[in-house]
Amino acid sequence: MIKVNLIYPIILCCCLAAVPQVRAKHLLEFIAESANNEIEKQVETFDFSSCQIYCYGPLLHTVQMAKLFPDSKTFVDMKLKASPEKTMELFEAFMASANNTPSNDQIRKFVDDNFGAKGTELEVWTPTDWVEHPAFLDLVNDPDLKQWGVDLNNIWKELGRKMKDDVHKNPEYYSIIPVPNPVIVPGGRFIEFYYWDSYWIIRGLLYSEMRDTARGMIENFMSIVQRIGFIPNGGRVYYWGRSQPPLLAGMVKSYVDFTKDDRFAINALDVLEHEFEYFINNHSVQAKGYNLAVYRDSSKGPRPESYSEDIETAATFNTDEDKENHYSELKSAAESGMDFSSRWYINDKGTNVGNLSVTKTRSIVPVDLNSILYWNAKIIAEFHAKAGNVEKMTEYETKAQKIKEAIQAVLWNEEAGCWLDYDLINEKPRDYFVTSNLAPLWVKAYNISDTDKISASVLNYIEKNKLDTFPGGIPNTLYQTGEQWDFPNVWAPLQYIIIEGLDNLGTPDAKQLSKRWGHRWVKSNFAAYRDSRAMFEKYDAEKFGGHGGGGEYGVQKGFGWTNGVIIEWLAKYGHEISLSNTGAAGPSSRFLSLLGVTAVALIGAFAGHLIW
Amino acid sequence: MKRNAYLWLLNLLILAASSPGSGYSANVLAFQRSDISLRKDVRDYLNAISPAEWTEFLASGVDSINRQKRLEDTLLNSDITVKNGTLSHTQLLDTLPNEQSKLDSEIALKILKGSLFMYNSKCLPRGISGDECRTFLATKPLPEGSALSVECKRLLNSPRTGHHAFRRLLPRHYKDGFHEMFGEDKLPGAWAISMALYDRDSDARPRTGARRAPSADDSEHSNLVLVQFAQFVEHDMSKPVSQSMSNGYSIECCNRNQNNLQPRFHHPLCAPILYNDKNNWPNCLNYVRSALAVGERCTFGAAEQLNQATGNLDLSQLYGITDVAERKMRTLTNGALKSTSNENLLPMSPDDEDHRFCAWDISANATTCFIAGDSRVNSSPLSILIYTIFMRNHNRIAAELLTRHKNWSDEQLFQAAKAVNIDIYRRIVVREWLVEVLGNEAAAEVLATPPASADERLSEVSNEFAVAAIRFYFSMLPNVLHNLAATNEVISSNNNILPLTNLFELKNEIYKPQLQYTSKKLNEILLSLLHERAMKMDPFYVGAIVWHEPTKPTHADVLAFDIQRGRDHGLQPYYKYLEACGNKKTIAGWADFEAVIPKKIVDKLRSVYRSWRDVDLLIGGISEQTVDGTVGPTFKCILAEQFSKIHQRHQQRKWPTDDTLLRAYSSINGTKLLCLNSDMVSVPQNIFRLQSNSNSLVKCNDIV
Repeated sequence: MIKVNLIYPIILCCCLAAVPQVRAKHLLEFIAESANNEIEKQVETFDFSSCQIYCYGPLLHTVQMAKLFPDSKTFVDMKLKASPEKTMELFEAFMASANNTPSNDQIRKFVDDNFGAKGTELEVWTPTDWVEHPAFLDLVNDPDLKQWGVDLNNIWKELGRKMKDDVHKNPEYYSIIPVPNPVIVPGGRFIEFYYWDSYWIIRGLLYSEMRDTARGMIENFMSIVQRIGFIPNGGRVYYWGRSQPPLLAGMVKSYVDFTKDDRFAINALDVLEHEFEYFINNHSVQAKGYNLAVYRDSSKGPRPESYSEDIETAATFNTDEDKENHYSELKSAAESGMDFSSRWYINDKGTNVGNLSVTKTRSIVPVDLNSILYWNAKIIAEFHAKAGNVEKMTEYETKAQKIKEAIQAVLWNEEAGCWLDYDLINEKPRDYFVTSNLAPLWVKAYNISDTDKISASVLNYIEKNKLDTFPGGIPNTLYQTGEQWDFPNVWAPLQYIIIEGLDNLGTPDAKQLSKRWGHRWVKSNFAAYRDSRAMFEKYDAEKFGGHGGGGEYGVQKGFGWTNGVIIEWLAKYGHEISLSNTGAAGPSSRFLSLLGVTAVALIGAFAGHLIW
Repeated sequence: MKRNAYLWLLNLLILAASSPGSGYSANVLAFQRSDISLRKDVRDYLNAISPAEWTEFLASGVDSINRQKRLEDTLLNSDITVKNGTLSHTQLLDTLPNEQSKLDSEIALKILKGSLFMYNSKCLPRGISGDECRTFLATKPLPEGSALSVECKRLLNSPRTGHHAFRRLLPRHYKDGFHEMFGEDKLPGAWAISMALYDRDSDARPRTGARRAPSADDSEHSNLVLVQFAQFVEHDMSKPVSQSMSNGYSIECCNRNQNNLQPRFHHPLCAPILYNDKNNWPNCLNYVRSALAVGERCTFGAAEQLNQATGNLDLSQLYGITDVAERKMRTLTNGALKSTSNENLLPMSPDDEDHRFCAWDISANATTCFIAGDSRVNSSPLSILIYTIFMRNHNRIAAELLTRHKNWSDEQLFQAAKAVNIDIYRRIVVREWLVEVLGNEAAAEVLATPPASADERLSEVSNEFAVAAIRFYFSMLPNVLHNLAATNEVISSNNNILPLTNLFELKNEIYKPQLQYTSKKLNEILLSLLHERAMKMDPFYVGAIVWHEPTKPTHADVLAFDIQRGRDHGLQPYYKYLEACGNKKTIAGWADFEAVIPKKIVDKLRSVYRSWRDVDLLIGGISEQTVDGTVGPTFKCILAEQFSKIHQRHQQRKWPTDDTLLRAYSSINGTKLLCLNSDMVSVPQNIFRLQSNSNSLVKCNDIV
């Protein structure tokens, strides 16, 4: 049974000797619990036959190590021309004919002969529920920001994708995971749907009054849970061993909050519970005697979409076992959504200094994951309350309280005045600033009675780390390693988590800081858009209106979650932000007139473009 | 916006033309400074920034640079730094920073970063332009007592020779008004321009002109001595150097395969030169942003690039820019410079442990590597030759002086010989070479520049001169140097074109001296330099110095490098200089270029650039039709401006040595210099032109 195959490697890889027994118990419970339900039957269909091409195996290895394409993801997104089995036969024959040492040109020819262009399984799709003038635009006063809102609403049409019929008929010819409804993708190299990205995309869609599209995406995820038991990182078979921060419950809640469609909430309960249990079962560890979750991956080998890169970083390890462990750490970091970051580094001195090779994701208890799991339990309890199921409601309230207690006991750090990730190897908190340290504020995973104290502590923590000195937003960490989830990169979802978190905290100081940072984020994103006519995947803390870099691919444009956050904040702050109230900026100009030389308010770098 | 943005004020120098009829007008142009006036509301707003905030901006700048150290450690651990023997090593030797430059640059970079924090926090969100913001910042002293302020002042009070900032003829031109280069969203890539301009046909054409019998036609033709003197003068006056990591290591922006590095390994100071191959893999040539100099007043503001050379014709490329460097070149007996091979060759550094002079790697097993005051001595055999001639000249003079002044100390002999050597060099550069480059009229105007008053601040070298105008000579370099010594007589009465053998191929010799260097070999090189026609100055560079295929490069592309460096240094586009040099005639389109650039080339440029406003200064400059001299009007204007400043310096700063001593050698001109310091039998009267009916050969025996 596939599910067991999926889970066993996790248990075997686990570095804490005491934990497997705990895990095994959970696993058995899980299997027993789900033994008779419908989900269980479909779990057995979790067998992507295209995985032998796209997830592992000699063909993947040979092609990816030839480095045919500047972006390793290109190959694994290409379509097969023959069935996977037939293609493997052709590949074996090809290797034999080349004495197992084909040249790069020969490999390129093999790929050309047997694979079609990437991304051909998806076609651009204009959402059928798209509206020209969603109501959030009426909340925006500044005419330039309003025009920007119009542009962002238009971008949904560029990011809409629908699977061709052939994908449903012949899924084994593709790496894409078939889903019933069209989706909004992040953009750039990310041409398929992604799990946690979709939370902010869906919120943006809801503000843009595209409820059908939003619901369709949620239903896609639910269908995936029903088929394979969990939601992979993104919509490709090669993500089969990792999920992402579990925000499906948050998506459903967002939808229900917008639509008041309680029936949808109640109908989602089975799937939400199932997904929640998946995470708990497959990710939990014990720290200081409490059950908490870590990020994990259950597959073997390098990340298929960054195959040669992983082989290269693993070159510092001598044994296959060490290499395999390293791949697991990297894929676990990918599951966290923060791939990669000094956040996951533990060197032999127990600090975060080093490079990718000291990535120890599986040994770090993350603040954000546990906060999100707490929130999942709360949402499920809430939905059970809607259904009038007091027993289930109580059960999930209890689960939520347990997680909250564990967060308070293990992750809250009185000395730092903030929550900190916990290092299981050295059994100590990791006193390094990461945006996710503030995640409990967002989902209120703390004792509400402690609000004032937490507010004072957290604001002090912000001050101490000089987080307010960066004109381009709060950097993900303060450590510049070259990895994309480190300094100076700034990411929309984490800005959202912090700024909404401070707002939720509700004290005057926290709310004031939240608003200032929210305004700054909107203005800085606008400046970047004005200069480049693009929304970026990541931004630069040191630059007002500058985009980010680093990592293993160039900065991407589009961009789903960035747009979602801005649309929500245009709705939230639009009535009070003005670009022309700056006194120094001279007469206001209209954004539409940007291509004219009269854009006095928009001097800066833009002036350079025009004059010279 | 343009209306008020720049107020063109008269430069002091023009005012100083108190003798209006001095003939100092047309070609030797004084560039006008532009001052930006701040609007009152902007000034009030910025004045309201508190001292605590200023301190914080600076602290943020320092933090920012300190944060990079983590990345730099990772780069070093991943072995991403310039490795010996690589293409990047060759490029590095052209721009090799010394310790003092590294120190200067790091401090300047911190100040720049602090200024950028202010700009991004206060100006940009308010819609205050980079130009305005920068202008305000330059009035703001670094916070008193801050570590950076202390370091900055200490630097200013230390000897500044060899680390002054380049001067600007026109205001800086950056995306943010400070330091950010324009990207490929605005400008075509440097390498793409170089590739587009490469002319396969003309590069393939055999060059046989040198072997023709002298004719009237040749009288106008420059030889390669002119080209090589341009480089020698450049080495003397200008050396932009690369920035380094804080740990002192050099920065590498490409991987071992000459492909783009993964973004995670991208150093913030990298601006690699990229061009996609047929499979869309970006081929890569290293380019690291130039080192910055600490400004003259320790204020906030935008930084200027550092010139690791003396802005003066003083043979510092041979002697070194500091006393310490100079001592390394001296034997410390009898006033002589070090040499090898019976005083015939430059001193050698076979082990060159730090790989500071030659781009050999350890396994190369090479033994030849010359040393001089400048790391660029080995940039080609032609370069080695000219350095050698001046080394020989010094030692010849020192020996002569010794015979006449037996009681002089080493120091006396050395200083006297150096003074004479420099005097001879200056005379040849200014009186002979400059005339060939600028033409008679412009050269005369340069020499008519009135001396600067004694207290006037001496002008530094201009950015436009250093990274654009003086680089014209690369356009005139050939792929190979032919061996003209095969037949003894250069003057051949028949017009037959003889098959030529090559002395060397240039691309094999760049920073890798492979020839068997002997006195005889240098003589052969000199013979060829004198009698090979220089190529025309135009935008077509030979294959030896550009990489024109979308394949993995095995040598650098000097044209792409120069384009990139011009952008790094924030030069204005070509048309701005054309306007400034042409007395503000406004350029309004491609057609206006046709007055100075052949139409065929304008058409070529139109296919490369999206707008005439984008054409890089270097590209416009080398595209211009030469009028008289060897360069077009815009480069002539920039070169003349620089040499008039140099000439002012020469007049102001008299050499301490006895005038009578210099006078004793005042008859030595180019011809005599070459005759006295080589085994040539005869050289042309004008050493910068091919021999011709009007430029006859002079027998060395007759003149020395």
